[in-house]
Amino acid sequence: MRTKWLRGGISVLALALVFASGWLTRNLVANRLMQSGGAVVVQRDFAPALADARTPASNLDVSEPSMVTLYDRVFRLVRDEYVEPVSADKLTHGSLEAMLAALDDPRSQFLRPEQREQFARALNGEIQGIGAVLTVVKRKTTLRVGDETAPLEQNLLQVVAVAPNSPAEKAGLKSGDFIDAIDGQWVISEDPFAEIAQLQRMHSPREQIRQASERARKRLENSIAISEAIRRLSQTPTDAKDAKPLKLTVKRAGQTLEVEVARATTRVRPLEYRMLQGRWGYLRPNLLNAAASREFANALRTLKQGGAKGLVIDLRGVAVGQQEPALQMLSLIATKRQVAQVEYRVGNRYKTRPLNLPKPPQPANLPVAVLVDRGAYNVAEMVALAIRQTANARIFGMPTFGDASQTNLYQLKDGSGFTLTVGRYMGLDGAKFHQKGVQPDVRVAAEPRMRGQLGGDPVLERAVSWLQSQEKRS
Amino acid sequence: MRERGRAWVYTLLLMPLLFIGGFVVSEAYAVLTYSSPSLLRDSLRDLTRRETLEPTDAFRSALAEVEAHYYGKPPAIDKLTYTSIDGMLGALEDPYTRFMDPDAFRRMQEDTTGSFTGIGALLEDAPGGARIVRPLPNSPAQKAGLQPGDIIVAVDGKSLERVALDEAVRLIRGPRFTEVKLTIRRGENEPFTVTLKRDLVESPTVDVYLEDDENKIYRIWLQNFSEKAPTLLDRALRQIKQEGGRAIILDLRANPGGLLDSSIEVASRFIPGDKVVVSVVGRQGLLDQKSTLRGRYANLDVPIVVLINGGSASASEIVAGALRDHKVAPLIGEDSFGKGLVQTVIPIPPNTAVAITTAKYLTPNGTDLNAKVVDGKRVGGLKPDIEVKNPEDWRMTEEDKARDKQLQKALEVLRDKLHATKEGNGILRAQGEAEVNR
Repeated sequence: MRTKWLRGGISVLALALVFASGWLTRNLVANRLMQSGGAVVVQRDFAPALADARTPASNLDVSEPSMVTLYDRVFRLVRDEYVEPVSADKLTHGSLEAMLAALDDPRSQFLRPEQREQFARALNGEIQGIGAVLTVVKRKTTLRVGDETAPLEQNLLQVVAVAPNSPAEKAGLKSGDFIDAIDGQWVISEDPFAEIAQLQRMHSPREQIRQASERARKRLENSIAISEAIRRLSQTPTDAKDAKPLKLTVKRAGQTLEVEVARATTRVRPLEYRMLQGRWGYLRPNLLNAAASREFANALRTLKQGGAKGLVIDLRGVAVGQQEPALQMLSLIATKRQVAQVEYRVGNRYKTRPLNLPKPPQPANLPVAVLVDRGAYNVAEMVALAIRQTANARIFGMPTFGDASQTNLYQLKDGSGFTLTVGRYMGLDGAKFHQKGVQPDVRVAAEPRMRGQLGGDPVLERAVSWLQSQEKRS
Repeated sequence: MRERGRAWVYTLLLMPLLFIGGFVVSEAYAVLTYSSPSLLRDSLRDLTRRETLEPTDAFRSALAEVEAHYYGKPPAIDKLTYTSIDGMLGALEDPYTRFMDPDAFRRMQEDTTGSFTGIGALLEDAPGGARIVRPLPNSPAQKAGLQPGDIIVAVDGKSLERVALDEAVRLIRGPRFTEVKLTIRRGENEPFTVTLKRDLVESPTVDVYLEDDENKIYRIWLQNFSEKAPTLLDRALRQIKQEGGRAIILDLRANPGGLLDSSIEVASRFIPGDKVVVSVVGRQGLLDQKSTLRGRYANLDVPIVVLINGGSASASEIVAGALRDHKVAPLIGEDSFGKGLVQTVIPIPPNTAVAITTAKYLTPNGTDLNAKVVDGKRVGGLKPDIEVKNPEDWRMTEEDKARDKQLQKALEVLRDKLHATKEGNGILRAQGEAEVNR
């Protein structure tokens, strides 16, 4: 009787095992298929860092499959019926460009293969063109026509930061400058016909409308789109005859300046460091990428061995960065594993999740002075705030740029790609800095004559005197 | 012993079934919960996706990413899809290949079935409303006694004080035979209200002008290629013959085109014999050739010139190109618009459609009528044989005729011809008849 039960048990177990192996086999095959690519087009390339990493996009389904079918129908019809042969790539690029543009977010952009390549190079510290990081900022303003006003939306091309030793730096471009025209061509920042629409609403005399439309047409004739302007500014001409400098019309603090700037390849050194007064370790990452992160670890070791009593981390003008290397650097400073929060969208609601270091921190346990200015942008801003909130640290300088977008880069099979804002960084305590910027503890407006040199850098001097006060206290 | 053996057999039989069962349940679980890739769904997808489906794949993946992970609130999925399709078609840089979303498709259907009509008056912007430039003949506006200079200040009680002209036109238009109440200000008088019944308004198609009384040179202004255009043209040609016209200017300026059939009819009046008027060429080569229609030649034994400008498009260009290629008339004026493309509207159920340029028109000599965009500028269309530009602010009105250099040039050319071929008319006629009789 007992053996019968035993045998029965064994059979049931065996059958259960067989069932499970069937289950697993399918999953294995499915996963293998998924890895081998199949129809997978989109892959995360950098800064995934979503704490709960999700299934790749090829398995994500659109909530309305009928829309995908519609797209497919139209594509096939055009491919088969259009009067001339069409390039499928061109159609894809056109549609993705439009889709991402419809999000109306400067940080979510389609990248053509050459732009995508440029993007990758910039992340490696090889910046083409004038050597500045540019962004498009939206501004709501009013249009004045006669004694009436109408709302007007502007898209302005702004310099976030200039790379060290770049043509832009030599030409004197500054973080915060607006580029209004290139070689006399107006960079289209607003609808030039808005005035006419308003005049028509006001039933202004025909002649006045005609003149306004003449003006608008003239203005438009001699203009370039923002995307074209960015392309021109971030390309190093290969042809000698195109190599002449660009004449930029720049708006800075209400003034209009003419600036002549060359275009060349700027190679940015990932990190510079030195000991100040034999006691303060000064670290200046020029970007926050993998190379900078490696060098940061080495430099920190050297400085500590040299007897550093405090650290200065100079993030002024750091506008190129990736989240992962930045977190690696943070793990040598922060005393907690969680360094920030990220706000993200689920359906129609917003949630937050912690932003954690990839491994437990190994902090240097030294007081840290962080130097920032308007040119500290995005990941650098997050880092400054994280250091402030997870270590014995103070922030010196001016408020940062104020772009808290957490951005993913996606790559498509043909070498094109796109960026997408997937979240918004917040401080550990939930403090938001989007558009406001990270505020310094000690505000120092004076610009350095010699950056990183005591005696020529007022922000650095304030930082060092704070470090001294920390040393006395301990 | 036998029973135990049977139990083993059952177990052995059950094993593969259970294996398959595990497989199937796992698949079902994957399909239902989207927890892992589904073999069934994906392989079906791959089967239906043998051809290069890169664009749809890329689109689906990107759309799914945006929907699931984009930080901001994305536009509705259908709107985002329409925008993407617009972008896809925009990459062709052909303004006529376009997607019609449900709204646009509905509007197109209404437009072509003509169920929306107006009051038949030309309007312009004016302080406080829309000014009537002139009511069209036999229009509701004319029947109601509206006069040039009247200002419409309200439509159905809604003031036009703060309304732009195109919006005012939208308010005035509506379904045929419905009523619209207009508040009119005439001069300094108190505004009054009239009620009009909306109706189809026929815009005039053919006007005839005697431009040179001494040499009897007539100008036929063909304003569009409506269904009635050939009949109206016949009437005009008869009138010119009766009045002893000795030369004709066929004015196709500002003629945006119309029906292809009408353009073949019109060309047949001027081109003797059985000749190709236009070739239709698609992706796979020649699709169709339209030739002059038998017995439609108007037996014209007079010199002809054709006027074209940037407003001459489509059917106008077909006629002008055919007349030029068959050496019936030289072209005078400016480059034509350059729309030599054939669109096919393909409805996509349930409620959208796509208009695709499926073919292009070539003149008898093989000139591509379509303009291309090169470096942001339109290049192409028909080149005139004699290029004459009018001032940019010139208007095609009676009042502005003095500044019409193109017309003056046409008269000059015809006068020269008349004087040079005074004795040649007989020969021309004989040739013409011979061709017709062949």
